Amino acid sequence: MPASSNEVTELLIKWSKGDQAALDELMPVIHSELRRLARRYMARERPSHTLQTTALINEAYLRLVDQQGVEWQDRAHFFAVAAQIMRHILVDHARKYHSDKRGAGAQKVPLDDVMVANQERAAELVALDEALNDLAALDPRQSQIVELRFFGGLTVEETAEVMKIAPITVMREWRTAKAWLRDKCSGSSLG
Amino acid sequence: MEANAAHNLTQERWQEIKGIFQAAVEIDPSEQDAFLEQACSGDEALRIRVKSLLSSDEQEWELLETPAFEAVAGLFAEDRPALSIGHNLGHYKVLDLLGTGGMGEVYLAEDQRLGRKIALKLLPADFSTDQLRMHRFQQEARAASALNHPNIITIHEIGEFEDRHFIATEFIEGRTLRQLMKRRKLTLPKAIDIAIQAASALAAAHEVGVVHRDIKPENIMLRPDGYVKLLDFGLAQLNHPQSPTTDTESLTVDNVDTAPGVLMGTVNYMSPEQTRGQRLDARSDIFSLGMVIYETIAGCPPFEGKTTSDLIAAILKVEPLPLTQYVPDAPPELQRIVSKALRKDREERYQTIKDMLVDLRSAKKELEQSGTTANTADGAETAINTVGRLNVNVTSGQSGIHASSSAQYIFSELKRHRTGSAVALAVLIVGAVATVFALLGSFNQKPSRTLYLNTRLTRITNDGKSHSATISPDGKYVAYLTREGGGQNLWINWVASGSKVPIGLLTRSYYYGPTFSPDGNYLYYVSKEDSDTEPTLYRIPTLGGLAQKVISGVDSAVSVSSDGKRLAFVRNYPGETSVIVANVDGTTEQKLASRQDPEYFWSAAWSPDGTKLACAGMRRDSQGLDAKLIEVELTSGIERTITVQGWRWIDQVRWLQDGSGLIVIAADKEASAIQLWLLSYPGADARRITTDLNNYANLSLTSDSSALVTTHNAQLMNLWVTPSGDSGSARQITSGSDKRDGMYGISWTADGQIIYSSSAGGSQEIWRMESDGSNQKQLTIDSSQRHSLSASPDGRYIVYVSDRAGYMNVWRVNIDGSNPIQLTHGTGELGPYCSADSKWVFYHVLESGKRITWKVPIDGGDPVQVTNAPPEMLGVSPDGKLMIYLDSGDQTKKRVGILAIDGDQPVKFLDLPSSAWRIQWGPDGRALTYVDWHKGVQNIWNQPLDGGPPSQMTDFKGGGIAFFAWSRDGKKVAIAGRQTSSDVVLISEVK
Repeated sequence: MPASSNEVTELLIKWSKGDQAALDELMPVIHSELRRLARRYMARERPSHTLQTTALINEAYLRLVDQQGVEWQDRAHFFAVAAQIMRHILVDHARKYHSDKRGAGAQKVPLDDVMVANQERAAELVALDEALNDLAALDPRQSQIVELRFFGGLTVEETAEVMKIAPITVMREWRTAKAWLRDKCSGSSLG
Repeated sequence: MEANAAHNLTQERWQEIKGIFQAAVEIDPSEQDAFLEQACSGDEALRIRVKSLLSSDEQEWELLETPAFEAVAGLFAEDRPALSIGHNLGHYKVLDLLGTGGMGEVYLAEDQRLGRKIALKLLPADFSTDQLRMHRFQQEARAASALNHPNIITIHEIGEFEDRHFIATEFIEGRTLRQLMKRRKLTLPKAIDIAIQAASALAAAHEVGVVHRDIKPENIMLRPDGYVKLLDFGLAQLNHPQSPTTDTESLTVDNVDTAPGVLMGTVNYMSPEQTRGQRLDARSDIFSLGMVIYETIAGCPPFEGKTTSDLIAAILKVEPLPLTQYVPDAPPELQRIVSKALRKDREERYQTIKDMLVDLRSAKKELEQSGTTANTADGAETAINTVGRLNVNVTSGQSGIHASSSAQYIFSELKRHRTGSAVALAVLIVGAVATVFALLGSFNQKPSRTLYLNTRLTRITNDGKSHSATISPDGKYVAYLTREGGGQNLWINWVASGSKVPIGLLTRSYYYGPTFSPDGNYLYYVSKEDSDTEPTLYRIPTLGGLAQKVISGVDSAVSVSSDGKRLAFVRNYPGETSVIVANVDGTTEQKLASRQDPEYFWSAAWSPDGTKLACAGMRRDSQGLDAKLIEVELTSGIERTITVQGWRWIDQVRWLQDGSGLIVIAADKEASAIQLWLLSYPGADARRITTDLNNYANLSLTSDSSALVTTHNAQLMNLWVTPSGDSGSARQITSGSDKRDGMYGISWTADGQIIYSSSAGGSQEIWRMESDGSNQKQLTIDSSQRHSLSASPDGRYIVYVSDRAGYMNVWRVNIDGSNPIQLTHGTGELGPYCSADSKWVFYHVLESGKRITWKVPIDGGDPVQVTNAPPEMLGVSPDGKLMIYLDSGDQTKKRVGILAIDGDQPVKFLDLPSSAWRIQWGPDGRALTYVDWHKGVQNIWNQPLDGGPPSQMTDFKGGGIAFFAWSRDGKKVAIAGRQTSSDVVLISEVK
């Protein structure tokens, strides 16, 4: 049993009703839980092993929330906030990684193929995050779809469920968002 | 992105681009160009942008193909690079790299908060993987540091930086004993002085139960002023993955031999028991110190070998040459000391370091009397004299690099318990009270098959805010927490009288698993200081005293064995969870059973005879969770599954006192609620003790199993009716904890009755009642899910959404609930309501995320798109002349457009708060009404169309509003309000 689960449930409900203070309270709890789980998952990470983000968030959800005590909307909100938090954790990490590798530490460490790939990945992720902020200004719903799909690891159907829109819409918007982000990140004209 | 500034898109422009792009991707690529020419109709900039999007669309972009977590996992897996000069780690700024080694890198850094230099040891990434060891190391290192002994290095902080642990310590300008020995052979007095200071440090540490485990010249530092500092207390345990934690022979000579590079440095100073992989104790430190003393005097180590195994063989078998072989004038007393420290059998060695210290001091005196004077540091001798007297109050002083004064050894009992008292609860209970009440009587133990068949449920609390309850073994009192203000109050309630006493205020919200010790004298609970620290088990005396820290890394409620001697709980490790057994004081931890992801342990409970544990084990897969109850034998570790049927969730478990069964808080595969169950043992026949729709959490039993305490969590959804314009007089018209009235909609009939959804009959159905709550009547009985109830103004029908046919479609029943008819047959139709003349049902479908309004004849027929309705239409005014729709929304507001029913340009915009929802027309058509969150409470608000300030229509003080509906005459509002509650309940056997 983690931090009194009733409390988290209550905060989720409050937040889903627009109480931003509840989110402030909620963030550290979920953040810490996700980090904890992430570390657990990462620790046994092998190249062949596929990590499941939804499984991770699901587990956090199961641990933190009275599963049947909340309504469907609250579950959706949980996924939305968890995806935001995942984004924060991962981008933050990538940003640090990126700057570490480019900084003075770089000459100390021989760059092997894996590290080169990782460095590119980190840079890509940071750029994506920035592009996503721009997309949010342009098309908030699309940016939320990307957040849920990419950072939250939700499937098209799950995203549709959380956002209360049709799966076909999610697919269409997702495809458009990907094209836009790709365009943006490769520095081409659109945007 | 430089492109950004140059091409600032407006949202409108983006919608245009998006629309064409989304259409273009649907058509054959060969026709795309022609399509674009046509669609962009000469707007070349538009065409270029869509084209650019299309070309991006064609390219594979690996990054977005897998979820971010998977995509960047490599970043986490890879070891962090070393810190660089000038790099900041929290408030530490790295100034220089002092050295590297198997134990990581050591940096000189500046603590920018305090403006002092510190040494920063960054442990290798793989050191951090074993949380148990890390955790024990931290405990020991802190314990040693907290002694404030002048010969023990002060630890400022043990922390984590990007998954690497670091230790910030006082920075010692000086040399290690190894460096010193390399430069020159030490004089006898100097060697003895170093030995005395090191032994003094060890004596202090051993006194508090900390064994160093890695005494060697590299870990002993000498400052220019003569002070000796012992480094790295407890750190060694992190470096030996195979090193045993219990009395086993797992680390054999062969094990060591396979990894000579790793262990070589340490093997040199290993005690015989350590080379055998046995458990280490204080006497192992004595042996290692003996070796160091020998080497400082003789100039070479007592045991040597060309290979690791030769060296180990020497440690195990060879008697070292007498010191006089190297130093002819070595006093016989010194030889005796070294020999006694280096006995192969630890039973023959010095049994305590203090004894050795006393002898070392005599040896020093002997030497001084013989005329040689040791170059002893000022104060060092004084420090030695205080060793062992741990509870004296010593004046405080500055601990720092310049140890010129003698009063360096601050010791403060308070400091030592700093962590333990962090959640200090001042517990003040009048002792006598506890013994006064005798209640519940004593019950004859019944076999599990008849236990809890007839039960009485007593509410201990009724405030809706209490949780985390536990009952004392004698059943006399119940401890629980109540959320009050920003914190939580701990209460004790006397069951017989119902009286309660506040025990203390907990300011942290991380608190769980309260458990009484079997004798009722202590209350255990798990708490965290903040979200990033490990959950820690504390213990407070029930009759007053301070909270004591017992053990860290406790990830479940704790179970105390019935003899009160042992604890069991679940601890999470990377990729693994384990059931841990330990003594009640937190010592002698043992990992009893483990599960690797995707399986994990959740909770554990001692059997009454203390021979086994019942553990809740989960398995997570794509289908969800699968839970089992597993018993693990304590001595053999043999596991057996207790449960037979499948469970979706098992939370907590407790054994019946006679071992004939278990009580679990669990959800089976069918039911959704987490309920109390009784399982027979063995056999695991399951019987529900509670049969409601709510959830239960935490569980404790009296020692005779005749009563239990748990927390009952309910989601309350009830209906209120309030007269329009009278914010103070909302009246609750339904009550009950598990009916969820109005959760899926409410609507008024033409004659002033309320139609609402309710689970009062078990399944969610449509109900009807008078507006004062009387005459409640169930209308449907078919258990299908329904949403968005709406009664037709003419009083004939109720329309709603149901997925009975596979998709969300609009349905209709007669006003009495009979004759369900499906009106729409698409793949998703939502939000139905009737036209004013009751001939049409309006609804919307989602297209490209926009709500497109359609209508269908209420008596059945073909749906028609309402072409003049704006997208995101919210409703038609009561007089049927105006429509409202959601024009746009952002973080700060929602803009609602008002449009004439036959117009195509909005006549007006109104800005509502961004959190406004359930936006609908007010009854007079001159205002919009909506639900909004303000000062932590949801209420209904009224925004006049003329743009004046919004006014609050209801005055709820808490909870949320799921739905509200205006009566047809506009005089009343029905509201479905939601509140969550948790209360402590006592369930007892009825005799």
